[in-house]
Amino acid sequence: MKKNEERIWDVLIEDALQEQPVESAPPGDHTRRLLRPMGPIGVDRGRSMRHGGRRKWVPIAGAAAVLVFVATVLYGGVVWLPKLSEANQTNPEKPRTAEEGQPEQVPQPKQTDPQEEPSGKPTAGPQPIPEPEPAPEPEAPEDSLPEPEPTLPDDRVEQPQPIPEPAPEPVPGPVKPDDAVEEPNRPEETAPASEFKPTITLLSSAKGARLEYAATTEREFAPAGDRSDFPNGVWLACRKPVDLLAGGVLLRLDGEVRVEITGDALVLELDDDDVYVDNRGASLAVNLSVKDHKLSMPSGAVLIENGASGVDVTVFDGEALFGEDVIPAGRRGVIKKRGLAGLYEPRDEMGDAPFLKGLTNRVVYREDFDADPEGRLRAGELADGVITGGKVFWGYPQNIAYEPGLVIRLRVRFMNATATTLTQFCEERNDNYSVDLKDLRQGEWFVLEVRVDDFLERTNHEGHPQVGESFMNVSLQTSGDKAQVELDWVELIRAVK
Amino acid sequence: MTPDIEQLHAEFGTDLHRFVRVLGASHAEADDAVQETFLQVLRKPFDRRSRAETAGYLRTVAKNVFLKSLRKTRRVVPVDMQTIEQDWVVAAGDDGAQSKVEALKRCIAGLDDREKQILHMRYTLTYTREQMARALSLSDGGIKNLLERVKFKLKACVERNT
Repeated sequence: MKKNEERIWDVLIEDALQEQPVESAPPGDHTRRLLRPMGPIGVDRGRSMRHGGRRKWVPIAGAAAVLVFVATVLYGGVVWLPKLSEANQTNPEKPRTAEEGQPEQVPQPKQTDPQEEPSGKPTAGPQPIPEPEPAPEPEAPEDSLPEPEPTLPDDRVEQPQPIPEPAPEPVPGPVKPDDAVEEPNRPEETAPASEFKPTITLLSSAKGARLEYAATTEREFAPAGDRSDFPNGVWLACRKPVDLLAGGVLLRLDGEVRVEITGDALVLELDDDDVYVDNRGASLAVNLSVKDHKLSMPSGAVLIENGASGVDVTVFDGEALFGEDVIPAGRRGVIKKRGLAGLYEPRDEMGDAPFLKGLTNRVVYREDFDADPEGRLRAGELADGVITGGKVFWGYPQNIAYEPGLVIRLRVRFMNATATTLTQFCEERNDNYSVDLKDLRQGEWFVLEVRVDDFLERTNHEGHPQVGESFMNVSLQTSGDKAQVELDWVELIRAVK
Repeated sequence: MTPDIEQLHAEFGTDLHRFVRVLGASHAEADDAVQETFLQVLRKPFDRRSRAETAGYLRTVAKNVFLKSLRKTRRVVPVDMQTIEQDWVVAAGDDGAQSKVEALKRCIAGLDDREKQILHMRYTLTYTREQMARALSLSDGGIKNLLERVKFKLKACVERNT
């Protein structure tokens, strides 16, 4: 449906452009003007189809104008040049202007006054990765964290300012296109292990779902009754959709599936049924097998529907990997016996998919930066939906309340960044929470996922966000020579409840 | 009764031409398909009914003519054929989408130079995304985003103005 609509709009825009007056063509582009006598571009009309005949007086008038111009230039050269020369010779004593009299100024390198720099700000160099101990950092003394100004609390993300540098040159080498594989880059552990328990829990079930479970491979199912926790490796079967939480991954199942949590992945074996998987921020990849096909989902929201002719994999967010193929966000891959048959438009938007009706929206906040976020952009340059800079910094439209399991996800591309500090200002604590990340992939887009529980209070590097606190703004500060980051979008998603 | 082809063409020609181009035809192919459609109307018995029915009949003929020509080239139609006629009827209205095109012209005039430039490259010069990226010193993704935003802007503008 959307494909049709897009195609129709393409044709209408094309027609509108062709019927535009010449003056509306972009400045400096003469192609349209040159081709206009032949009618719309792309139409092979031949000479006989030209719009009207060529006006005969045009070349004559043009030639006359050129002749007049040439005559004027010649006349000026012959008559006025000698007069000007004579006039110059009659005033040899005329003083030169001050500018002329001065020797040519050689630009001096700007002397930076060390007093001009805030005393506490470190200069260049990578950010030290903070240790959990509250020991003061030698390069960042306490006075490097000035008291926030009460009038502008929104500006109080305290980051070391890098020395102004010329625009960084792009890193040579292939840059991934937008549709390329993006695997979430998870930060180093700076906090205790996740609070997500590796259990399989029933969250809710539709009326008449009749959930059954079997703890053995023989699939001897028994009614679940009031039971809500299930052992690892359990087979589950239902007649209407049920919502499950497995290792922090949200599942909506309609049919029969085996669920097992291994070290770093959630393994699903699906029979001829449908399942929705949302493992954004879960720190567990999902490996799913269905009809001898194997799918892998590093992080995303994916609907898998079994049909008679094949398996439909609709990716709403993130991506699904099928062998060497990638099904990116916003596409529906159809898998048949021989493999991925093609990529198509999703049948429905995520909010409209019948199978996902009633599912809680996990996205608390999302900013695509399609436009300047109403003056909330504090650092970085916004162009074409991407914020770029050594530091990018923006304010949330309203404070975002902390809740356990909250995950911040950012689609980013780093250049020359040895490390980056992700910071959120907490109004209640009147301080920043931050997390330092290193070993960043350079020159390629990827989705960075950070658990808000991993953030540490900035001043003493102790204490994590607490319920009742909220965040006012967020920033990414890069470290490294000519380091910069590009930010495409950001979102905060809540844990599955 | 021999239909008045000139009148039919004046009434439905634009609609048919655009519809066939939506199916993936070039301008020249659309010219041919529309011409062949009216030739078929001349060859076969034709009863003029309501405007909607007549338009529907002509579109079906034009579609079949174009699809037949496609078989030789094995090209793929860039639309969902099951619903394209319905979608076109909804989008085009009674005037072959001419009012939308007029509104689009006004909306395009209101765009800034950069937005006009990318539309020009995409639709008039038929640049690839890569060519546009080079010309505008943007990334491939930047081009995609910019185009989507411009199209979204135009759609919203047309919705307001029609």
